[in-house]
Amino acid sequence: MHLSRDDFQSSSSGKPEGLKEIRDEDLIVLVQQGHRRAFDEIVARYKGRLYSFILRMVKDPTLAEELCQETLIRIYMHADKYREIAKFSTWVFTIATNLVRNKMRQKSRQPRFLSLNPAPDEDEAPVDPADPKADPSRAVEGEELADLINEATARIPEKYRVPFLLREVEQLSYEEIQQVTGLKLGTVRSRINRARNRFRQNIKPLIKNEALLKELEEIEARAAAEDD
Amino acid sequence: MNCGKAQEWISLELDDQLEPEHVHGLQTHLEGCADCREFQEDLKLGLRMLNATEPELPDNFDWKLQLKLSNAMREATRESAYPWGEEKPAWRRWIARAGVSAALGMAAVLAVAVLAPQGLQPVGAGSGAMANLEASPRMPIQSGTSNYFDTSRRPLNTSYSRSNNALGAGLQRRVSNGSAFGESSWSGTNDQDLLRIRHLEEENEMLRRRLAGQQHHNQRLQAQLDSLGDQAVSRD
Repeated sequence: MHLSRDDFQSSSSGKPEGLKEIRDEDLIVLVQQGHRRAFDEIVARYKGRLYSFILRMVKDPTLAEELCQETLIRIYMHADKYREIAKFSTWVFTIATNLVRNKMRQKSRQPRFLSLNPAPDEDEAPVDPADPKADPSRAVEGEELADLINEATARIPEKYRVPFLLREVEQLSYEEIQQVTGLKLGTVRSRINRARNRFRQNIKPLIKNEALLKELEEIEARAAAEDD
Repeated sequence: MNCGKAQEWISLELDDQLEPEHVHGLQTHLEGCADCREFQEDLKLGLRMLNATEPELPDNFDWKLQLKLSNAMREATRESAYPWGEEKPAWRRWIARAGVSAALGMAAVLAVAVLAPQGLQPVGAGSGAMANLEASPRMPIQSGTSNYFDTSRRPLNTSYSRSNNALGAGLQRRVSNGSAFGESSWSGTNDQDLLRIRHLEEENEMLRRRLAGQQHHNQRLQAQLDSLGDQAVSRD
């Protein structure tokens, strides 16, 4: 690929022009050659996706922001290590997943109270019954749909949540999830299925809530209007 | 087909992963099973909710990222400039400097004790560590005279003299006992021991000055490096 700095000068909006049509894998090659604007484009493409994925993994917005920025910094600092044997997005989410796992492992090492009802941790464990406290008729004032969905996602055990989010939020293929997580393809399928079962149980109360369904339609309508 | 298998196939169908030969079987099951139809509808609606509620990035995200990236780059530059580790704070540098000086002094004492010939030789005719003094351009030795034999040039205070006499006596004892010092030339007489100590002091001082000079040079290079790093960051 032969591109010069002149091929992608900044527009008046501050965003680099001429880079939008370039594949991720070519952008990182430009970064390897020292083009900082190519990295700006990578940040623009991935920061939202990464933050969304990481926040739903760690639940803490401050920590999610830190880990998201750390992922982007590592992409820049270790750009020379990327080889096009895998999709760029796979590489990015492998870095993010490893950072999140390390952080969660650190947190789990911190002393805490033992739970009398630990979440089942094995693939063979039965899916938990729906939370009896989750009443579909409960008031949702002050709680937005996003918070409730995040909560429902966070209650999926971590080992199922990683492939689930990579599939649902990041739209990675099963093979890409396999590469990111290092799991076998069959295990990826099985974990996504189990995560969906758990997710469905967790959101069951929300589905029956008319106010939330109306909010969902409004959000989708706004998004469609923005796309137009 | 049981409902567990059907729900597994529903999940695969959502991702276009269901084998074509299973599609018909799943449809047949769904037509006859209200629970699985509800499962399918709930799942689709839930995933719609998940995708509609993407969290917004915090304010100042880009600014903080830029700052962290600059720091990371600066750190990487510094690491390449200091392959042995981070630059230490001033007080740790001072301790390290004092430690190096003390170690050099001790090494010189040991070198003299082990290598110097019997009796004290004038520096101009000497060898080993002391001979370096003559060769050093920073400490010119006046030819024909010896600074080291002139005990009146810089009187030693009593306590210093006493403590070093004790050191000399100790060394002398070890020599007479056939210790590792072997045929040491340590004289055993106070005046000569004092002269030897003065030589070592002066050599130590010279080495300390050299070290200070190198450290000053090193600081100047680091300042230049930092300046270049700042320029590179601001340019980008």
